[in-house]
Amino acid sequence: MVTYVDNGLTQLSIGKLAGGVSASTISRYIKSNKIQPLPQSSSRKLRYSVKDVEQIIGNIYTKKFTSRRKVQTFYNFKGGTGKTSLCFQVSTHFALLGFKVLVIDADPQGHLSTSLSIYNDDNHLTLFDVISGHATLEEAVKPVFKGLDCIPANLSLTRLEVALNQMAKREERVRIILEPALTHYDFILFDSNPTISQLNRNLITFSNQLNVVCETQPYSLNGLKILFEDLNRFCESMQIQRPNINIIPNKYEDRTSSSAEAMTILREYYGEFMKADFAVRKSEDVNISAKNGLPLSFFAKNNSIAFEDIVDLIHYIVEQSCDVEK
Amino acid sequence: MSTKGKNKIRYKEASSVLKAMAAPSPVSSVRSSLGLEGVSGDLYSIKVEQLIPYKNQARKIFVQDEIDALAQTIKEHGIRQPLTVIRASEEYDSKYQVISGERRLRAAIQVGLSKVPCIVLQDASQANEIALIENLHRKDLHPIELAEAYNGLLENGFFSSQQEIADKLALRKSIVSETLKLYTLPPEIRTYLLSQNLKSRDIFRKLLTFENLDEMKAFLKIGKPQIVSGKARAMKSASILRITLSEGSYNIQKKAMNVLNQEQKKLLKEKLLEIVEQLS
Repeated sequence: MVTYVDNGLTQLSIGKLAGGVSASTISRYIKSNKIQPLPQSSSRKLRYSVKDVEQIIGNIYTKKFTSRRKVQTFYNFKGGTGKTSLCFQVSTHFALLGFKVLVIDADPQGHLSTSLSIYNDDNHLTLFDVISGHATLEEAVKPVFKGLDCIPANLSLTRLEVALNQMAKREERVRIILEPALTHYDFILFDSNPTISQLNRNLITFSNQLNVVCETQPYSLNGLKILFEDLNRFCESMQIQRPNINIIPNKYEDRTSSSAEAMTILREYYGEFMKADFAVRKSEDVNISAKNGLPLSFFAKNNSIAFEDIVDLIHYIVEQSCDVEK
Repeated sequence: MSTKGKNKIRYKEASSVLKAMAAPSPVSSVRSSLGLEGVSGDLYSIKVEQLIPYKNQARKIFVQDEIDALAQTIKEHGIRQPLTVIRASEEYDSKYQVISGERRLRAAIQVGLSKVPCIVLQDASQANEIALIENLHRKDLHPIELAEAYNGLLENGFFSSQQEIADKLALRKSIVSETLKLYTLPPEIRTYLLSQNLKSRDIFRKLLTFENLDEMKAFLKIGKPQIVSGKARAMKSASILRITLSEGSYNIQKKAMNVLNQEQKKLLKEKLLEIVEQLS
C-alpha cells in the first residue's frame, strides 16, 4: 500500500513539471516561502510533500491556466495500447500541478484503481452504482491525495451495460449524472475499457477531448482507422460535435524500423491530431510506476526518458485544454 | 541516452502493405456498430424470391434495354453495389422491400442469381428519403415521376416543405416547385405524358394554363393522331434497325430504337417476334 504522505518530489522534478523551470529557481521559491522538506528524505536529495509540490507548481506554472476541455477520456477500443498507464500518469501529475482532478476508472478490470492503491478486494462502489442510481457521486468518490479523487472500478462495472440499455437517453446517462460535478473539478478524466460498449458511447458523448493512445505498430494503425470511422458515424447519428482528438503514439522504440514506419503513417494521415514529432517511448519506468503505484515524478531518475516524455505530454494536454491568462 | 526535440523520433518510408492497412477511408465497412443499427444497416445475402418492390417506388418505367445492359455487367462483375432494403413486416422470415436497386434486382433475376447482396435498414422512416435521393441523383426519372415522388414525401410528412426537399437534394427551390406543379395535372393527363414519354417544358407550361380536362385533352390530341416527342416526330420514315451480314457475322445497328415511344416500341416488338417466328 502506497502512502503519498511518505513520498515526495525533488526540486529538479518539481522544476520539470513546472514548465521546465531550473532547480535553482525552485530552490529560491522554497527558501523564500520557508517550505520544509520531508523529514525522512536524504539531505543530498531533499524531497517535498505532495501538498507543497502542488502549491509550488500551482504558483509558478499552473495558475495562468483555466481548464476549458474539462472532460477527457483515454480512449481506444484496441486493448493493450497503454491507456491505463498514461491515464495514471496524466491524472496524478495533473493533480500535482495543482489542478483539482477526478479520475474515473471505467474499465471493469480496475487496473487504474489498483495503481491508485484502491484494491478490488475492498468491494468499492463504482460508476455502475452512481449511474444506476444506487449511490450518489459523493458516496462513490475516494480521495487519493490532495487534489486527486477517484471513482474506482471492479467487475461490478460490467453490469452497467445492461442497466444503461434499459434507460432513456442511454448514450447520455454519464453526462447527465456527472455534469454537476464539473463545478468541483478542473478536470474529469476517464480510463476506458477496450471495447465499443454503451459505457464508452457515454464517455464519447460526455468528453470534450479523447486522448487516443495508439501503439506504433500495424494493428494499432489499422485500429485507428476503424476507430475514426466508428467515431464519425456515432457523432453524426447523435448529432453531437466530435470531441477534440489527441492521438498519443505510445511504446515507440527507436531501434525498430516498424516504429519508424508507423510514425510516418501517423504523421501523414493523422498529423493534425498529434503533437508534432512526439511519441511516448517504450520504457521500463512506466511499468515500474504502474507496479508500485507511484507516479513517475516520485521516483524517476534525472535522465529518465519516460519522465521526460510524460512531462512533455502533460504540458501539451494542458496547453490544448486550457485558456491562458495573459 | 535521451535526445531532445525532433531527433527523438525517427521516420521511415512506410511500406505499401502497411499503408493499405492503415490508410483511412470514409467507409470501409457497411456493418454497423453498437448504437448505429438504425443509421447504416447491415449487409446480408438475400434470396431474390424474398425481395419485392418498394411500395413508394418513384421509378415507374423500367427500360428493358438498360436492364439487359445491367445484366451483362452483373454477369461479368457481379453486383458491385448492394441493394438497400427494409423488412416488409416485423416477422422474422418476411419479405423485404427494395428501396433502391430494383433495376439491379431485375437484372440479377435475368442473369439467374438466386441471392443478391442487400443492406438491411432497421429504420424504415428513412426509406423514402433514401429511395428518392438514390434515384433522383441518377437524373433519369420522368418529371411526372419526380412530381409524384416529391408529393408523396410532403404528404407522408418526411419533409415539411419544398425548401427542405430542395436542401436535401441540393436543388433550387424553384425547380422543386415547378416540378411539384405537375402533380396538379389530372391523373389521366399525367399517365398519358408518362406513357408517351413527353418531357418538354413547353408542353407542361401550356398544360398548366388550361382550366379543365377537355382543353388539355384537345391540346394533347388525345384520341386523335398522336403528337410524338421531337426526335421521333422527325423520323416519320426512317431506318431504326439495320442488320448487315459481313464476313460471316451479323452487325446490328439499333441506336435509333431509343427515340421510339412506348407505343412504337411495343409495335416494333410485335413485328420482330413475327420475324423470329419465321426463323424457326
